[in-house]
Amino acid sequence: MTLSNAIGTENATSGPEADLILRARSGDRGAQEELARRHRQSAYFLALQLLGNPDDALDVVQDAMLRFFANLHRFDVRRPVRPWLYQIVRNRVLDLHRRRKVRKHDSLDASAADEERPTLQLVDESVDLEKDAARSQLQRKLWQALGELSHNQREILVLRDYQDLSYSEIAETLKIPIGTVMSRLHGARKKLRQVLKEDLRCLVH
Amino acid sequence: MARSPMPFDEDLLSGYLDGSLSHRETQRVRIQLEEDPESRRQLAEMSLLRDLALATRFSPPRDDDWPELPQTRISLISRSLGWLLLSAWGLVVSGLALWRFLAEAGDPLEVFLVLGLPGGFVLLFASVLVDRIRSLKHDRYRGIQR
Repeated sequence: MTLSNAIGTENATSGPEADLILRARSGDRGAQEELARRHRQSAYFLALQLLGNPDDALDVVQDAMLRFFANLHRFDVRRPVRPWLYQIVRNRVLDLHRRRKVRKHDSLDASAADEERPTLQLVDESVDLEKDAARSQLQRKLWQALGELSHNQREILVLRDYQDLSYSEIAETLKIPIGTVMSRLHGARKKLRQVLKEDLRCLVH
Repeated sequence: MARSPMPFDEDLLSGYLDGSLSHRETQRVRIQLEEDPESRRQLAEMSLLRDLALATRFSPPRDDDWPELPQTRISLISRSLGWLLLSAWGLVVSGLALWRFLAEAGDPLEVFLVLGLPGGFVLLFASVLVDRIRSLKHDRYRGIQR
């Protein structure tokens, strides 16, 4: 199957970032701190989306960032940083799954708004209040429904629909062919539609 | 419009939604969408779910939750050696003091009176410390300022 996105130089590490990595490698603390600041939040969000639990996500991302810096000398600066970092996060998530049964997906009911550190913030952009409420509710249900997917399905859906990675970046992160990305992603979306079919029926005519 | 003889590969709908198809595949999907209301519905639902996922915002950790950057090897080694030296010193000094005291004290009541109070406090403190360390990771309220 021919796909328009080919693995190549897409989103490759740009000049200034490559320079930053080289300086971080040579022990420049300022460069290391800047590199950490740039990437740790997206790494945390990925871990959170894969695990569903903020504490586990923070543990995973702390470990991942340590490994990121410990292995920085092995990183090819011509490649994009994100898929490499995401690969490290993903491996740590898999390790955590292996080590213990991950705590159940966070509850996102109304009381979650009162939590000290809510996991999810809903974004309201339209002006149709009734439709907004239905969309917000579906957004919460969608987050909960991720817990019903298999690990592989959840992983690919998170990378595409939450992290907005291209097919080539996903292929690189998961080490799978691009054609497999599309079929696995479609399988995950199909399962989600099945889980949420009643809610979708109200919103899609 | 004439029906396509080949069965439609549903996976293409995801590729179409993500703009990842070749020109030929895109045409194939467009024909399918024109012909089949179920495919149109499927695409609309997937598109809605993707929009909702993309619009979801997550709370980042607090600034003080982020770990410090890894230390240089020299500072890590010197810090570890420092702690090791301090712990060893503490253990040797307290062990020596205890041994000297026990060797010189003749009356068991005297031993009890001197060691009972600090020993009790040390054991109570140790039990609280162990419980605190074990519960720290799951404590939701650890960051609340009093």
